[in-house]
Amino acid sequence: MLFRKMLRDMKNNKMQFVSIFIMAFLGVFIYIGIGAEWYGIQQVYNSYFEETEMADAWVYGENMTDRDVRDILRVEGVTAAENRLTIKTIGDFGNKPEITLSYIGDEEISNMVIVSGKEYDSSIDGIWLDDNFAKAKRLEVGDEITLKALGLEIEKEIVGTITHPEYVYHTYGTEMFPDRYKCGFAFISENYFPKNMTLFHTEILIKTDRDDMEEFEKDISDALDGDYSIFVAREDFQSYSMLVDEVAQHKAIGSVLPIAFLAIAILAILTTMTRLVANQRTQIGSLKALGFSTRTILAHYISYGFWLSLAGSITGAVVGPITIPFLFYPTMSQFYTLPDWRPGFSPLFISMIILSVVSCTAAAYFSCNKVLKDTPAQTLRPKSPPAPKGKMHHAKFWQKLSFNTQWNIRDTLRGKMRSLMAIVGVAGCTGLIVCALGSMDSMRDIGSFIYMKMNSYNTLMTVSDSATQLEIDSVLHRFNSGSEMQASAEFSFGNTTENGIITITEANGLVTYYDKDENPVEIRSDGVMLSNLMASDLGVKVGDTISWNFFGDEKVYRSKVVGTYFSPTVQGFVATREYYEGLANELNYKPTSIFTAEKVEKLYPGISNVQDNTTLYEAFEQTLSSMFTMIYLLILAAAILAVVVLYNLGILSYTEKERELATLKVIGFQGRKLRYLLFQQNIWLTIVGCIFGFPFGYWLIEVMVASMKMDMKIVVSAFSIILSILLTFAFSITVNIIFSRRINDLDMVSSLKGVE
Amino acid sequence: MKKKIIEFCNVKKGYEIGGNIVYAVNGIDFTIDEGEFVVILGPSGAGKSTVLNLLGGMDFATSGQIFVNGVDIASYNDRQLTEYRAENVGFVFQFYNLIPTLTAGENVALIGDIVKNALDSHEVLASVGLEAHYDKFPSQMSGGEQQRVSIARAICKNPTMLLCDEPTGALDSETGVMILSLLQNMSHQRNKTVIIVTHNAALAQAADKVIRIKNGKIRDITINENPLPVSEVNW
Repeated sequence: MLFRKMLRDMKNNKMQFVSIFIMAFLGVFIYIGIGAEWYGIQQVYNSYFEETEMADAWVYGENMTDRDVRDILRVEGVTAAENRLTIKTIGDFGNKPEITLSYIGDEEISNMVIVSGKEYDSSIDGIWLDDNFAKAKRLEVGDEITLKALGLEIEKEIVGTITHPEYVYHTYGTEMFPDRYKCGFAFISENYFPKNMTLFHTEILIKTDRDDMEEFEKDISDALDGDYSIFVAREDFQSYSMLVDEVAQHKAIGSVLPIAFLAIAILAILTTMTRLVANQRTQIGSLKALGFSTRTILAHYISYGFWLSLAGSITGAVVGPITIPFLFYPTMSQFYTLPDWRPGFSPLFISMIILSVVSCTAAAYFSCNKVLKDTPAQTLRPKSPPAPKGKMHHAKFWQKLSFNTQWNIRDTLRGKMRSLMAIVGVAGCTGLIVCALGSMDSMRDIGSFIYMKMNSYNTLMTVSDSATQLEIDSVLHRFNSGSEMQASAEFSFGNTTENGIITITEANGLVTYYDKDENPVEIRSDGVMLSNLMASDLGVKVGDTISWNFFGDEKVYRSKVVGTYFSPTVQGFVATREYYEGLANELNYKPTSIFTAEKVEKLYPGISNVQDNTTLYEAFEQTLSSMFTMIYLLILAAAILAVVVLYNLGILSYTEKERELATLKVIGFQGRKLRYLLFQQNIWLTIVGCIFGFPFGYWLIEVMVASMKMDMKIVVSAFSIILSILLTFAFSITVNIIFSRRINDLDMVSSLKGVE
Repeated sequence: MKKKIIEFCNVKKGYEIGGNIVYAVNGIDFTIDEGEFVVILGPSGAGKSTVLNLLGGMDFATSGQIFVNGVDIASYNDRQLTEYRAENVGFVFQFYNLIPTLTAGENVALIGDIVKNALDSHEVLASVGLEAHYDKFPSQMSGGEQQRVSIARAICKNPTMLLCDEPTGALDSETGVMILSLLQNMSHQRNKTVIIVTHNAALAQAADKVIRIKNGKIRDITINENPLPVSEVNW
């Protein structure tokens, strides 16, 4: 019978219980939805890497011989090793795509996965081509493809299109967004290496069961007598680490947001149940008089929280995994190539259901525990309202306040929990919007910083690897130009080693460097300027000396850090040509890119690519579009949060005040005045919530940025601030309008009729 | 000789107000026999309801003993009192106190959740003449009907006694008479002990025993050898 009572109570207080349900639902929905998204990806890549025997480490060098492989195989813990030749080639297409080509032997490590065509077999003469690239170029099995490399034109028939575990994330050059039209990868059997050339190998792939990668690197180094250029463990392998970091980022977001919703659900239960129990005081007394034990009654009221949160959680747990992952997968699959995109289910998810059910049930317990402690005789008597506390009403300023203000101050203080919940709800709403818009602003800021502020050139020409000094000089002299040289390097300080980029600049004012406050910094010639993030990652201060070496070169240089600069995307150091060439005899400046303020469209000899700055900027903005899904999701969550919380509170305070409002109406207050009375309080609470919302939004952005490998200034534009305020108020006012209608319908007679 | 079922021995109930203890019930003694139709009379604030609450196990006495079937319930703890209420006491309140979200039938059937030998809710509702209203909600019934549901709920558990606090206080006189006849019949025909608290002195004529209370003390106790049927009382 009591279960029926509960169901009917819920029906009578529909909106409030629906809102509790929605909050419990949203918390679990987002947690398990995003959880299923990243956990699914994790499961897919784990099994992908396992099934394809993806290498655990790579050793690169100029000539990694079969003897090196045998030496490595003798190292403790190594289960397999093989060498291969990997070279950058240019596809014979109009846009000169960059195809990374590997000549492989029997393929025991890092195996390809065939999408179409034949399985890999070292006796087949043909090329296995990146499926994404093939699709972008509309190439099919049986077509011919020509690649330029090693001074040759390699022409092969496509025998298969493939995906490959080492190419989950693969971009052109140092670009962030993968353009499948511009880059790809391919494999050819070693047996069909050009006959007139001697086969050599540039890398060794290693499988190991060891986890101590630092020790392992030392052992490998000993085995090879240090005769190699670089050792890369799987964790540092870009294709792998990008995906793993992204998954970690989703995990972070997916854990922070649900906590906010859960907090709201708990507050909603506290307020709703407190009021329900207060209203049912006589009913509780009657039940007690009938002989129901306190425990039975307590269980009855606790079950409201229990069933609601259970129903909400389970609905969320069912709906989340079948919706949220599929919002992310389309964007994610533009960045990463995985064999499958499907949600995964972790037993850990159940803990979220348990957490929300337990906390909601506990909230219900605390809200009705107190009433039940009274004796039945006391419970049957209506509770006398607490006497107004404080002597505020004696103060002079108090008497000067309008009736509305007095009434609203008293009412806000009387319903502390209710007011608090409104503030938290509004703050959450504002915070989510600020976070959504702010992270977009911050990303945009990076774009405008790089392309509008740092770069003042018009055209960027990429120097091809094979360009001669003569060709370079000829381009440099043709225009009023600047140039820079970029190379990958390893940086060390103390025991810390980080990978990054060295930039040697002769910019002639076409590229300017700035500090974090956007004051220009001068690149001095008595040392190197370290990027802020690299400096903090290495723990370096200005005045320290760092050591560095090029990738693929073991010669170590030592440079004094004479300053730092702010760089959002490229981490490493910047030095002048003068400093660089003065550092050692063998260091010669050979630019990798040339830029000029003039418009250039022609491809000069020695130049592989020409891009204008505006196009680059636009391309960068384009990559941001992938963030829109997240932003829409956040704003939607904010709207639901605000509307549900405020509506719930509206009903709550409306029913609490129904008699007072009816009395005021009887006295002769116009409906308009009453609406304004309620409106005022809501606006106060919305303003306070809004104020708390900004720091909360900043904090959310910080949490998100911290998980990305980028140096980012958190920028929230005035437009975003105004928009988030406007949206918050729009939600708040919408709810108010709904309540205004109710006041017009307020029935004075029935509201004032005797209380039970 | 009728069996003595209830005995109050020097019962006191005090409340602390502003540092002083004020006794709502200040040393009360009386006995009630099985099947008696008892009326407790007194002006507002005399302590009638407190006596009823103490007897019903709804409140703790400050001192004294309350024997029900020879056991002192004044010494009971909360859990024992709950059990006592569930098994022995049927309450009828002035404002009926039905659960608004349960139908008439469900309000009666509710007793089945706490008492093993509850009577059939349909039969009990039929006995107060409301069988047809089984599926109606309290808000769909008149005050008199609601009070009859409340009586049905009280007798459904087959209690030792029915305790009624101003059962006609919220009803018009005609309906009130009907309710009181119902209660009197419960006592005289089914041998139920019925105790009614009221300030309506006219009811004294219909009672087997009248206990008059004033300022927390007994003023007098009268026994009616020939009580009038409620319908013949001159209101």
